[in-house]
Amino acid sequence: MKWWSSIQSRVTLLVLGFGLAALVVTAVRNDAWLRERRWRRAVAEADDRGTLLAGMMQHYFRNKMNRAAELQMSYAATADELDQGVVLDERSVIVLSTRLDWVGMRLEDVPLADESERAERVRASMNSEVVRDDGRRAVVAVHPFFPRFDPGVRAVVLLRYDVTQVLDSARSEALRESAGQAFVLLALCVLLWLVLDFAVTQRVRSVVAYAQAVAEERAEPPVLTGDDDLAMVSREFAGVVKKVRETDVRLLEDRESERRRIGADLHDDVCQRVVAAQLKSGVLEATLARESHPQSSLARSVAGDLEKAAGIVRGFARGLAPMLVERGRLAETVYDMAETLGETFMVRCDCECDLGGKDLAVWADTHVYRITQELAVNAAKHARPTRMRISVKIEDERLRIEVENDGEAFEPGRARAGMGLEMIRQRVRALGGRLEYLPRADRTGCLARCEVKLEARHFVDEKPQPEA
Amino acid sequence: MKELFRRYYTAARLVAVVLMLALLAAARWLPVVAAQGPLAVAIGVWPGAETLVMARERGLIDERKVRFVEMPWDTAAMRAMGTGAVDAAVLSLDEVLRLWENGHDVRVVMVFDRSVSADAIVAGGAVEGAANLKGRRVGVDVRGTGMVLLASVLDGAGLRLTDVEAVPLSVPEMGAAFKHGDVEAVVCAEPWLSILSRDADVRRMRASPEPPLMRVLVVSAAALTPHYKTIATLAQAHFALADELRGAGEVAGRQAVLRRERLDEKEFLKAVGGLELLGLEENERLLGREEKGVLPGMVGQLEVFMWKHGLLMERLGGGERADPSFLPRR
Repeated sequence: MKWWSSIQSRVTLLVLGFGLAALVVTAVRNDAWLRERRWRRAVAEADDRGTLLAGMMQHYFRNKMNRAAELQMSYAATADELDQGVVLDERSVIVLSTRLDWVGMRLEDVPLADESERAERVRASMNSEVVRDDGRRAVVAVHPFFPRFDPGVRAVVLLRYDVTQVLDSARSEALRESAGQAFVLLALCVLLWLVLDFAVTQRVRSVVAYAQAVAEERAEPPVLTGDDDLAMVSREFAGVVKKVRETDVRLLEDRESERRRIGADLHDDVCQRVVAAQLKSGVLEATLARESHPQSSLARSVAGDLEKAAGIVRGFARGLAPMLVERGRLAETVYDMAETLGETFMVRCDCECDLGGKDLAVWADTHVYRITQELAVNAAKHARPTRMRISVKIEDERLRIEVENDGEAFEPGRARAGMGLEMIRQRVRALGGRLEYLPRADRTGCLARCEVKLEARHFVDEKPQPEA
Repeated sequence: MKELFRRYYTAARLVAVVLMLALLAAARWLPVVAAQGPLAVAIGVWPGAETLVMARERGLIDERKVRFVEMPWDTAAMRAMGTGAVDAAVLSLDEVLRLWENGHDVRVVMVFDRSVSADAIVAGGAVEGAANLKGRRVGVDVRGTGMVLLASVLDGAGLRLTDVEAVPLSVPEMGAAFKHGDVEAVVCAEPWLSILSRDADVRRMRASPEPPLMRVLVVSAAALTPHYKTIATLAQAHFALADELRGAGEVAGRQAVLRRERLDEKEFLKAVGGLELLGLEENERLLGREEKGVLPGMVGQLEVFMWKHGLLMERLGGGERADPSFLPRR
């Protein structure tokens, strides 16, 4: 799976996308808001400074403190945003300026000429004007004052502020703020990715691993704990698996019971009747022979057929209900099966059955026997071996069934097909064991191995319980 | 394979955690990139530094990068520098010493000139020589170069500062105070010296030996790096126009200079004649481009002189005070 196609990554990228979109909108709004605020502040400051300067100039001029006025003008020039400042007398001649070389010149002759009309208007009305020039990114403040005690003599202070740097600074601040927010957003998205990894991805992987283990009949990982949705899914899935296995085991047991009943019926009823008929035929044959009856040979033939039939029925009965109706007969039954198999398929079959003196429950004996039988028959039938080895052992609380042959090499992929193998798997599950097919060193046949860790339940003769 | 995947996945998580912490740190300590404002240069009215004004008038200096704050006299420029209102200023060496005394970290990046006769004590006819100043009212800018000159002149005559009555005056006020008889002598500098001499019969007195009365360009240490190119441009413009400052006739930008100085051309050329304009070679020698500069030694002598006469409250420590890196390459 590609990293971006996981829920974890998709949710994170989605949040990041929405966050960045919101951030861009906020950045644009923030930039506009900050710039507007700086504009307003610049206008307010220009008004304040102009008012103050006009008031001071009025005082200095009326008291002929020209040097102080000159110095005041110089200090006004130290304000960062002040681009140009002049004091105009009643004839619009510059008497003080932030540019000393302008002193004595007319306003029309310096770069502030385009403010002449405004200066005239303010001088006439004696109402100050502070205007914002968006095009030039400037604020112009014109404040009137009376340089003498004669109200007819009017002067103005004209200040032009360049707010370019202030606005650029606002933009820079807005950008910095947005960059900071973007970093926080990215950090939170990484955190979200980690949280989703912990809370979702890892848990989903656990559920998937559980399902894969069930499918591949491997040891299953633990079921998720917690109250969240995934834990619920995991629990429900495990519950379904458990129920399916219980059903499997129940079906197995029912089938086995049915087989045992049919076998018992064959053995106890049909077989006995056939044997009785055989005995009667024997008696009939003896009677007819004594009377030199010509049909005595026919009666002997019938007795012989009935004996064969009794043998066949007994064989069926043994196949359907091996002698596992009581504990402790597994080894005997396996040896018997091996012998029969060898005779039937004309193969040398070595059998070893060492249960370490332990007696499994009948249901467990049945599964062990059936697994061994199915593996052995399959090997004998499909691999066409010359030699087989059957081993059933209990060592260190572990039951190990091994069926090995030297026939045709076995392809594990094919192990999934076929009713017999499915039945084996069901029985292995019922025992709670593992089945594997291993290649042999000489690349012939295969070694089928089933291992079961024995627990107390394997020795209790009750209804078998499947693995949780 | 699974183990490899698990290891990779753990590494990915680790990288994610580190990345998250790095991003949070970046958000916390993101530097504020303030919009770079122009270099604010306080410039008084001094003939030797008018090269900068001429450069501005000729468009050699980008006004978006340099903002001249024009002051009517040097001490005002010193105060502006002291308050941090400007980044650079044209000051005299003694004013630079006063800034250093007050703990301001400023560096001398260029020397404009040495005053030969552009600073002088001006007295009326009754005062025949320095010795006659004893007990007289002398107008002087008590925080400026005037006090150094006065102390030096009095030294030569065997007098002390306490032997005269120093009347605090700003330079532009001196003309009127002298004419009205408020003071009998004033310690004055160009262009006010020329203006004062214009319509009064005055006698000029100078010290012998003369203290190093130099005007220099100083820049606050904090502004050196961000305004490196701009400062270098200022220095380059000054050296390019220094010769034209003395040239007669039509010189571009001269009219603005004359209006600032309030002198006519003849008076201005005479005032400039009272200066020894220091060229690039001399600047390199003073600031010490190749080898140790001689300016620190001169500053040291001036410092001792000022300290002895009570013009500095304490001796200054050493330290890097001159920076020749802004001088143009020859």
